[in-house]
Amino acid sequence: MKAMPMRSTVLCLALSLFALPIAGCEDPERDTPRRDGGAAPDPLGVFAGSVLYLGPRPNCSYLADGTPNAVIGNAVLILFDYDNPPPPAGSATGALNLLAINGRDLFSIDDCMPLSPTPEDLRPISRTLAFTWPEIALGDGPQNADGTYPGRSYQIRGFYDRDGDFLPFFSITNLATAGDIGGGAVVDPTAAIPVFQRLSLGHVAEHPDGQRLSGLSVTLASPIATERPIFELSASTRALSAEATIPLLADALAREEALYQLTTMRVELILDASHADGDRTFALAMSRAGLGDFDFRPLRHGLPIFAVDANADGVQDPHPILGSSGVPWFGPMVILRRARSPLEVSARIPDVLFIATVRPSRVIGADQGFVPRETFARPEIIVPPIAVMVTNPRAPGICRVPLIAPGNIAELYESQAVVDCQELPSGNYDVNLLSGLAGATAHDLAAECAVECVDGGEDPAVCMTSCATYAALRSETGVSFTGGVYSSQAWAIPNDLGCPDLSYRPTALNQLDPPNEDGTFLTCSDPGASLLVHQGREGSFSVVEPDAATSGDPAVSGDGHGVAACTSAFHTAGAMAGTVGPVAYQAFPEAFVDLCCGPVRHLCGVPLCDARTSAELAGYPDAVRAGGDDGTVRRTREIRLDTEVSSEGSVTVPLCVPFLPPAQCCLP
Amino acid sequence: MIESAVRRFEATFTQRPGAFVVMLALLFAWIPEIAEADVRTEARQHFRRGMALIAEGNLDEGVAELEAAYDILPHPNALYNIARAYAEGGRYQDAIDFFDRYLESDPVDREEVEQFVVALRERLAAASPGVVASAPIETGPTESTATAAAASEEEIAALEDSATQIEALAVVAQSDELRRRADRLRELAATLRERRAVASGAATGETDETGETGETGETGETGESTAEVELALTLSREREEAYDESVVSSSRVAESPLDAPNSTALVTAQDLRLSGYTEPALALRRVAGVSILSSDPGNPQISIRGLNQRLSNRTIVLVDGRSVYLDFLGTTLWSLLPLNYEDIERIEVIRGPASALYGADAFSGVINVITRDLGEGPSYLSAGIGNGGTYRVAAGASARVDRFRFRVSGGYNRADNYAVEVAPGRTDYTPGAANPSLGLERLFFGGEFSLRLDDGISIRGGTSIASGSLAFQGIARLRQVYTDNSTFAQSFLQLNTGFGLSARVYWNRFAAPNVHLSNLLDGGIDASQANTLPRSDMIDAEVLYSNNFDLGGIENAFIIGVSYRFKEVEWSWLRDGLQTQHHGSVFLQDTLSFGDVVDVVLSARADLHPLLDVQVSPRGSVVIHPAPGNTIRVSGGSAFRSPTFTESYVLVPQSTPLRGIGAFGSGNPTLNPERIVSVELGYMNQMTEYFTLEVNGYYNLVFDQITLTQNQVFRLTDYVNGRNIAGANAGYYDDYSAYILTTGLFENQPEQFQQLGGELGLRVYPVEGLDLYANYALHQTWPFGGAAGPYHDDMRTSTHMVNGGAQYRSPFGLDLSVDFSWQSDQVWFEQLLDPQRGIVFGRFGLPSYAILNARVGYRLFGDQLELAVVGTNLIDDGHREHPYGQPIDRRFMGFVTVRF
Repeated sequence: MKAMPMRSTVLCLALSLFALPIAGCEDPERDTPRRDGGAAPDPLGVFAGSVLYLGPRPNCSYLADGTPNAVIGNAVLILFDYDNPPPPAGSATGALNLLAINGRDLFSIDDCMPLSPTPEDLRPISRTLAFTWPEIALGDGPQNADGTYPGRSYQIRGFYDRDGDFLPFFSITNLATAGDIGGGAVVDPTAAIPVFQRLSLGHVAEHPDGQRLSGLSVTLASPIATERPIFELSASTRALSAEATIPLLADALAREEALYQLTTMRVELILDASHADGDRTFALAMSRAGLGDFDFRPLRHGLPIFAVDANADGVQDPHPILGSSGVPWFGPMVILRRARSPLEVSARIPDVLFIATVRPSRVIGADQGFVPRETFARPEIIVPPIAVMVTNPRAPGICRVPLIAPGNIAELYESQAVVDCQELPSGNYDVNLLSGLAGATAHDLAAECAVECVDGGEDPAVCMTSCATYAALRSETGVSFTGGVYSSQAWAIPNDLGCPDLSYRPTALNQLDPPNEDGTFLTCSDPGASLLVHQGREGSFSVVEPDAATSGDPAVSGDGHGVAACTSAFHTAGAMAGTVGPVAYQAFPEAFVDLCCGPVRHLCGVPLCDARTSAELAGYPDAVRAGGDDGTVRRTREIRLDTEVSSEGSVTVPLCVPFLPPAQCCLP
Repeated sequence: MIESAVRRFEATFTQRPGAFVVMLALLFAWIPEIAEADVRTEARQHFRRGMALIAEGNLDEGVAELEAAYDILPHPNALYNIARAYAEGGRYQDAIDFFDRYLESDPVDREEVEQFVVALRERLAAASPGVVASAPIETGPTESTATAAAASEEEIAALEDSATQIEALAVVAQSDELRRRADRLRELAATLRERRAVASGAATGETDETGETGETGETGETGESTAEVELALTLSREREEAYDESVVSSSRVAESPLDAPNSTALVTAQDLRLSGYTEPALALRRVAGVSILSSDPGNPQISIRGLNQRLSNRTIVLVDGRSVYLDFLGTTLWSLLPLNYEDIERIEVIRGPASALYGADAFSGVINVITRDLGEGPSYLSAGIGNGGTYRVAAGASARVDRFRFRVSGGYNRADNYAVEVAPGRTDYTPGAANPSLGLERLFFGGEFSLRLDDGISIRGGTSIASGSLAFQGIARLRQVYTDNSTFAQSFLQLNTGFGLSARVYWNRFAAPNVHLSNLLDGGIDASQANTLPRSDMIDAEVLYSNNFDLGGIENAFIIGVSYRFKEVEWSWLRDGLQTQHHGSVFLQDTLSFGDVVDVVLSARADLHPLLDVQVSPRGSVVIHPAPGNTIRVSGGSAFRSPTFTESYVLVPQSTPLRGIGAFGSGNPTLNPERIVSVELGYMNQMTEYFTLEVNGYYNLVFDQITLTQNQVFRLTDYVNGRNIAGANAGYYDDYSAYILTTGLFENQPEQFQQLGGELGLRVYPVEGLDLYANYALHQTWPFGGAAGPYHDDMRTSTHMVNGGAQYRSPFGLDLSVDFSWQSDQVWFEQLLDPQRGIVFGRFGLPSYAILNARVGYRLFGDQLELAVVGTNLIDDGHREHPYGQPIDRRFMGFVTVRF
C-alpha cells in the first residue's frame, strides 16, 4: 500500500459521506405544463355523469334464426361552447368535442327490438349508463382587468344513433337522422323547449390539477322525426351583388319580394333516389356514400317550418337582420358561410355569415289565403344583403358586426349596436340548411283526411277534395308535424357527394369513386365519376362584384370601408327624415373592444385585394362559381395564393384582405 | 450565476469557436505536474521504455519498467517479456518465476511456455548452483547478454536446416502447425544471426573466438543452453502489443485504431470509472459525433452522426460482438443490459455505416461494449446512494482454475424520474404506473465461462438476465410509457478453433408482460393502449473463417462468414399477435497490406431479409500510414436499416384530443429499407505518448427514411364498403368506443437527405497523471429530391457539439475528473393526432444545453477500497434533451467500492 496523506483521506471520506445526507426519498418534481414549454399535459376538465336513454328498444343485428347478436348504434354526445352553439343561437358548425358511448354498453342483448315486436316490445324502455368525458378544455384566455381569469362554459347535446349510420368525419353523415333519439344535458328534461345546462369550467391558472364536473345528467328521449334535408339550390338562384342594399320599400310584402329578387334563391329537396331531374348519378353517389337506403318518404323527408327561438324564451325571435323591420324568423334556417382558403384561415380572416330565412309570407300563407304553410319541399329563401362578421369566434354573440354596403338608409347603420359600412365580402359561400324536429309526430294529411271524410258524415268525395286542397296549402309534402323541438339536423353544399373543393381543402379527395390503378382518383369532370356537380362548389352560393369598372376603385365605390366612406346617408325618420345627413355609428362597449377587435387588428392597414375577373382567375382554384344562371360576373376580391406573407408573431399577415376589419377596430 | 455563465460560454463559442480550445487550455493550465496519467497510456509508456532498455541490454532497468507497467495495469504480456528477458540474460530462476506467473493467466501459448519452462528447469538442474548464481550477466549485463545471445554459425545453420525439413514435412502432412513451427525456426535463425553480428561488434574484436571459448565450460554451457532456450522461445517472440490501444469492431479482428478502416473511438474502463456514471451509455457523450438523448433516467438513446430519434434505431449496440439491439422495436434499452459497468473493459464506437460487417441496422454507427477478459481483473463489491432515489449495488467475481475461467456478477439499481409527467392530485389523470415516480429499477445477474481445450480450441458461454421496471418515451400523446417486470436475457455459446474457424450462437429474449402509460386520461381510451409483450426472441448463429496468406507479395487477412437470425415476436400490438422472420446473410472481408504503408480493406455483405430484396452492403477503405503513428483513411460504403417489426406489423389504436375519435398506427410490410451511402476522410495522429489527434470529415446520402406518415385518411367509401386499410375496422371501433378517423401508416419518405459533417478530437497527456480531452463535431443535414416531407427542415441533431474534460489520478489515491458537454439547439418534428386532419407534424424547438459532471474519488489500501462522490448535471438548468423529455436535474451519488 502506498503512503497516503492523512489530510487527503479525511477530505475524501467527508466528500463521500456528503452523498448520504442528500440521498433522500423526496418525490420528483412535477414537470411544467406544455403551454409553458414543459412536457406535462395542461390541466383539463372532466365531465362525469350518466346518460339516460328513454325510447324504443335498440335495433340489432340478427342471426339467421332471428336471434339478436349485437346492438346497433351508439350514444353520441357532442359538446359546444355554451355561448356559441350551432345556429340559430350561435355560429358553430362543428362540435368542440365528441363522446361516443357504445350501444353495447348501454343496452343488453335482451333489449333488442324483436324482429316481430309485440305491442309491449314497442313501448319505450329506459336505460342509464355512467360516462366519463375527458379532455375538456379549461379556460385559457388572458387575465381580466379585475384580476379574475375567464373560464369556459359548455353545453352538451346528443342523440342515440339508432340506425348506426353516424360518422363524424363527413359532412353528410355527421348528425342525427330520422329515428335517432335526441336530447342533451338540459335544465328541465320535461320542458317543452329545452334549455341546455351551462356547464362551467374554470381557468387553467386556477385549476392546475384539472377540474372535474360530476353528476351530469344527459337525457336522450326525443325521437327525431325527420331525415336530414338533402337539397340543392334551384337553378334560378343568382349570385348576390357585393353592393346590394336593403330595398327602400315601405310595403313589407313588396320589400320581401324585392329582397327575394336579389338572389331568387330556392332550396329544393331532392325527393327521390333517382333525383327528380333524372340524374342517375345521384342514386349511385348516394349508394357509394352509404345512403342508399335513405328514406325519401314525405313522412321523413321534408322541411318542417318552425319559429326560431334561439334564446329559448318561448317566444319566436325576430330575424336577426330584418327583425327591426318586423320580419319574424322562420326555420328551416339557411346559413351562408363564407368559405376560407387555408391561407385566409392562417391569416385569421374573420368568419362571415349571411343569415337567411324562409320567405315569411310563404310561411304565414299571405299568398295562399292565409293558410300557414307547415312543411316545405321547395322553400323560397331571402338572403338579406347584410353580412355578419364574427371577429372573435370565442365570443360570437358579442363580437358580431353587420357589414352593410354603402348606399343604405341611415337608420340601418344606426339601428344596430355595431355596424360597419363596406361592400359585402365577395367569394364563395357554403350553404348550410338546418332543419329537423325532435319529439315531433308526423301526420299524413291525406291519410288523415281519408279517415275523417269517411267517418265525418260529409260527402267523402267533396271532403277529400276540400281536404286535399287545404293540405296542399299547409304542406308541400302532404305531411305535417306536431310537437317536437328543433334538433339541429343539417346538410351543406358543398359536401362529400360533390366535387372535391381544392380551393378550400387542398387535401380534399374524391370520396366516392374507387381509386384508379395508379392510385389516383377520378375528378369531377372525368367520365364515370360519381361526384355530383350540384352538391359541390358549383352548386353553392356566391357574392360577386357587380361592375368591373367600379370594383376596387375607392373613388367610385366609396372605398368600401366603414365610417370614412359612409359618413352620411339618407334618413327616413327623425328630425332629418327625408334628407341626407351624417350617420351616428354605434361602437363596441369599451369592455368589449379588446375582446372583439384583438383578433383582427393585425389586418388593419392591409389593403383590399384587387377584384379580378374570371379570365384573370383562370387557373386559380379559388375562382368563384359562375354565379348562377346569370353568371356574367365572376370577379371577386381574393387573396392570391401565390402572394407572399410576412409574420408578426404567430399571426400571418396577408398582403391584401378580401374585406376589411371593422373600422372601429382600426381607429388610432 | 452558473446558467448565465453557460450562456456566456454559448455566446462566446458561437461567435468564436476557437475560443473553446483556448478556454480549456487556460482552465487546466494551473494544474501542477503530478504523477501518473491515463493508466493505459502510462503503462504503455513504461512498457515501451522497458522493452527499449532490454533491447539495449539494460536488463534490470528494463525489467523494472516492465514491472512498473504491470503494477499500473496488469497485463500477462509484461510478465512474459520480463521472463523472456531474464531467460535471455541467463537468469533462469527469475525467468521461471515470471513464466510461472505468466502461466497463471492461462495463456493461449501455455503448452509452448510450459515446455520452455521445463527446458529451463532441466538446464537449471543440470548446472551447478554456483554456476548459475555466478552467471556472468551479473557483472556485465550488456556484454554478457550479447554474448549469451550469440549462437554459433553451425547452430544457426542447423536451425535453418531443421526449418527446411519441418517445412517439407508440413507440406506432406498438410499441417499448418508444422508450417508455423518451421516459420518460427527460420525467424529464430534470422534473429540469432543478427545477434551474432551484434555480439561480434560489441566484443570489438576482443570477444572473438578466444573470448567465446575463453569463458570455458561455464560460458560454453550457458551458450549452449541459451541456444536451446531460444529454440523454444521462438515459439513466442516479445509481446509488443501489451498496452497498445486495440479495437475489434471495425474489422472484427483486433487492430490498432490507426489501422481501423472506420473512424473508431474508445471509451476505456478508466473513463467509465472516473466519469462516475452508473449508466455506461451516458459516458459515450464524450465521444465526438455521438448524441445522447436522455429523456428519463433509464433510457438513453444514442445516435451517431445525425438522424437523432426518440428510439434510436440506426445505431446497433453489441456486447462482446453480440447484438443487444431490439430488432423488433428498433432501439437498445441500455438500462436492461445484463452487465455491470465494472465488467466493461472498453466501449468501441464506430462512426459511420457498418452494414458490411454487421448487416442490417448498423446504419450510422456501431457501439461495441467489450467486457474484461474472464479471470482477469479484480472481483468487486460496490454500493452507491444518492438523491433522486438513486441506489446502486453491484458485485462481481472473476477467477480462473487451470483452463477454466468464469465470471459471475449481479447488481441492483434504481432511480426516480427527473420529474413526474403528471403530478399527484390531478383530477383529470389517474396514475397508470404503480409508482409514477420510479424511473428505473433493475435487478441483474449473469455468469460467463470459458474453457480452453487442446489444439487451440476454446469454448466460451454464458447467460445473463436483467429484469426490472422502467419509464421510457413512447409515441402516445401522454409521453411517458412504463413497463414493469420487463426482462432482457442473453445466452450464448462460442467455439473458437486454432485454425481460423469459429462459430457462435446466441439467444436474446426480451419480455414486457405489462406495458402501459405512466398516467392515464381519466375516461380516455389510453387504458386500452396497455399491451403485453410476452416475448421477443432472437437467435443468431454465425460461422466465421479467417485466414492470413501471402498472395503475390501482398499480405491478405481474409474473413468469410455466414449467419442466420431467427426473430419471433409475440406482442398484442402486432397484427395477428405473432410475427416471425428468418434473416440470413453472407459476408467477406479482405485486408490487403502493401508493406507497412498502405492497407486496403474491402468488405461486402449480402443480407436476405424476408421483407426485402437482397441487400448488398459494400465497404472499401484505404488506410495509409505516411509515418509511424500517422494514419490517413479514405473509406466509403453503404448500409441499410431494415424495417422493424413495429414498422412492418404494428397495429395500435391511438387517441385523439376528442374522446370519441381515434386513429390507428399501422405497420407497412412493403417498406423499403432505409439506406445510407457514405464517404469519409480521416486523419489520426498517435505519434507520441503525449497526445492523440483525430480529424474526420464525412458526406452521407440518406434514402428512404421511414416514418409514420403525415396522413392516411379514410375516404367515405372506405367506411361504407368496409374496406380495411389497416386491418382494422373502419367506422366505429367497439373496443375503444371511438370512431376511427385515420390510419397513420409507416412509409418511406419521398424526400432524400444529404449530410455533411466531421469531428475534431484531441486528447492530451501533458504530464503524468493528467489526461485532457476536447472534441468538436459538426453536422448538417439538407434535403434533396422528392416532395417535401415532415423532416424537410430536419435539425434533430445539433449542428455543433463540443465536449471537453479532464482526469487526474494522483499517486496518493485522489482521483478527480470533470466532463463538460455542450450541444447547440435542435428542432424536432413530431407526430400529433389532430381529430380533423389525422396525423400532423408539430414543430418543437429545443434550446442548446450544457452538461457538467464531476467526480471526486479516493483509493485506499492499494486501490482495494475506493470512495467517490459523483455529481451529474451540475449546471442544473433543468434542460431537456428532447422536447418531450423530462427536465434533467442535478444529482449526486456517493459510492463505496471494494476490490479484491
